[in-house]
Amino acid sequence: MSGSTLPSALVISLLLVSLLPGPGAAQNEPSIVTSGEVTIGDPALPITLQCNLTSSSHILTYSYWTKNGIELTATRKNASNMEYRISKPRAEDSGEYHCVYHFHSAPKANATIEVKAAPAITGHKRSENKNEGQDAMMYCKSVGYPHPEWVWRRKENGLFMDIANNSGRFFIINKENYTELSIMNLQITEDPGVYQCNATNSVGTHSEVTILRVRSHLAPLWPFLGILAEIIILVVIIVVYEKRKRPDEVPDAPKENQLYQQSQR
Amino acid sequence: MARGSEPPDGGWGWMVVLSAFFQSALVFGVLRSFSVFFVEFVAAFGEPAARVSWIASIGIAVQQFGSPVGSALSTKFGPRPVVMAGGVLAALGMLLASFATSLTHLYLSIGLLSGSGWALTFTPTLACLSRYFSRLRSLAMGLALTGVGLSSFAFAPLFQWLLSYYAWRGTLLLVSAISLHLVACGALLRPLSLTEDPAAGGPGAQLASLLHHGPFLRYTVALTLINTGYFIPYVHLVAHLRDLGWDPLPAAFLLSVIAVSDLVGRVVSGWLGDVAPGPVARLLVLWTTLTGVSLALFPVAQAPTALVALAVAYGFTSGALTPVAFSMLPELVGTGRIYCGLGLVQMVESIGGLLGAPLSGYLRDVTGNYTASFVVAGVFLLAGSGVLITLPHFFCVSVPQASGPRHRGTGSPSPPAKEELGED
Repeated sequence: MSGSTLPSALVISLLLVSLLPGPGAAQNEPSIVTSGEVTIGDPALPITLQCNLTSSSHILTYSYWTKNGIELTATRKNASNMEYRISKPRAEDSGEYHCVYHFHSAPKANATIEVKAAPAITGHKRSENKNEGQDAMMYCKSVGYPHPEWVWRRKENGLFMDIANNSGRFFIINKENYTELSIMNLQITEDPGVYQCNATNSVGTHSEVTILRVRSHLAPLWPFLGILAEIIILVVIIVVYEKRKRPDEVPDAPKENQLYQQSQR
Repeated sequence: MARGSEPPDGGWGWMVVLSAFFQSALVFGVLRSFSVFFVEFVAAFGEPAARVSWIASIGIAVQQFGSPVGSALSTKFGPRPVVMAGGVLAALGMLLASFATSLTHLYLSIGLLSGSGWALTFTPTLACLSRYFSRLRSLAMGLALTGVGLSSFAFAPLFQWLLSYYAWRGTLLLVSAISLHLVACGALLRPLSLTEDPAAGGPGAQLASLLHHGPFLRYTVALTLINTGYFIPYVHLVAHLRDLGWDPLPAAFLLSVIAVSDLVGRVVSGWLGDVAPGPVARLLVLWTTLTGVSLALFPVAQAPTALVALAVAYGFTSGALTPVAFSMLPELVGTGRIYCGLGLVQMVESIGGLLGAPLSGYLRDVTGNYTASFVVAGVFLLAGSGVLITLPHFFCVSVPQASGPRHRGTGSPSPPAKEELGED
């Protein structure tokens, strides 16, 4: 037996062992298992969101839920198994939820659960009354995730038709949960009517209606002239009645009566 | 119709009552309902609430301070042309207001122009009414003044509906047309020549003689004191109720209850004023004292039933004192000088009205609740009735008269002016 083969085999096996991945490397990434995407239906059944931290090489300090980036109050715990229950879900409960885990001297980790719902329009004007030539503004606000696409329509012959901006007076501003339809320089012949805002997302659709009325500048003129005529007729009747009853009397100016009295005495 | 006659107490007088009814509705009903326009003006001109409320204040001030002018003109020309001209002015003011581009424009058109129109209508009409009646004067007054209460009920919702349909410019146009009915009311004021007219003289002479008339001056002081306390509940009752914890809707309902009992009080007091023997001044003292007492009791009452009962009492008694206050004047100064007398009284008592509400508000700010302001209001009313007791013939059993059938006001043409001056 030569003395050189045993040390080289030892070196080679040590080298091989050192090349193997160490026991800590596989545990750098914590893994979280979630309950998955949820859609709020109608009727709305209770929803429970679940996150389970299955493997982590670091010590967990605390964990909590966020909705759309904002931490939910009273959800902070120290547990690897997180649950968030919504007993009566409504459209505004939809959004992007994260379960967030904070570790001792390690970056935090989170997982996403999407809660989707059909849009619900929470704010709109029932009616808008403006004068001719003024500007009208109609809006709709919604809640619901994902954010809807907005369409404005107008009722013509009983059906809701898309709005054609032929006159260039219509302006639409669409934001995530808000839409605004502005009409400049209202025309009394074409603009009055029923306008509808429609919100649609991947889950469902919802719409609300606003009635636009345009007042004419001349509208009060006819009642005004009518009342004027009535008053003139009344005054004429009163004066004529008096003159016919007492044609010899000149009723005004007590001074005249005074002179008459003195001449009688 | 004979020249130089006695008050007819009926006949065409009832048409004058009708005219006065519509006039008080058109003048005070419109003024009281003006708060409906308030929100519209604030939004349209972007001005703070305090500046917008000046519109109504200027209108009221011009109407009251302009009353002597209306009276003097009526003495000279008779009530009919003056009231018709006033109606035209009031309507013109509203018409111009519908074209307003700034708040100052509204101050001038509604405040100044319409205010002057109203000054030329209300006082001459009441004075004319008291010339047409002597036995039934209080009843006629009471009936005519119910126009104020009823119109407040009707006009506020009407204006609100008009605003939603026509916007404020269109509504002002229509209010102008409605106000023009004052002209038709004026046409009904057929002039009457009464026995004492020649002795009374022209407006200048009348004003001079009135200012030297002791009882008249005391009466004016009394009415000013009464006026200072009179309006306080209307202005501050709702706030006081909210302080006690009432909701807005029941509080507003209580105001309606007061308005109804006010209406009943006016008519009942009018009837009573004619039926009861002796000077009408005693009834005025009765109602004024009761009103003062009910006002002073307001802070003491805490339970809802007590407050409602007090509100009904206040409404009834304050409504009751109004027609009697007006119908007392011819007794004092004679129907010949009634126009000027009424104008002067309106002008002076309006000072009380202007002071009353701010004083009450100041007391509230200083003391923290409305107790002091209600009590002070009651004190003012009691002081007014105290001054009234000093009027001549107060303790007589019946009105002293010269000859002829019993009626209120002076009896014979032999100078009433000299008789009353001799009482100083």
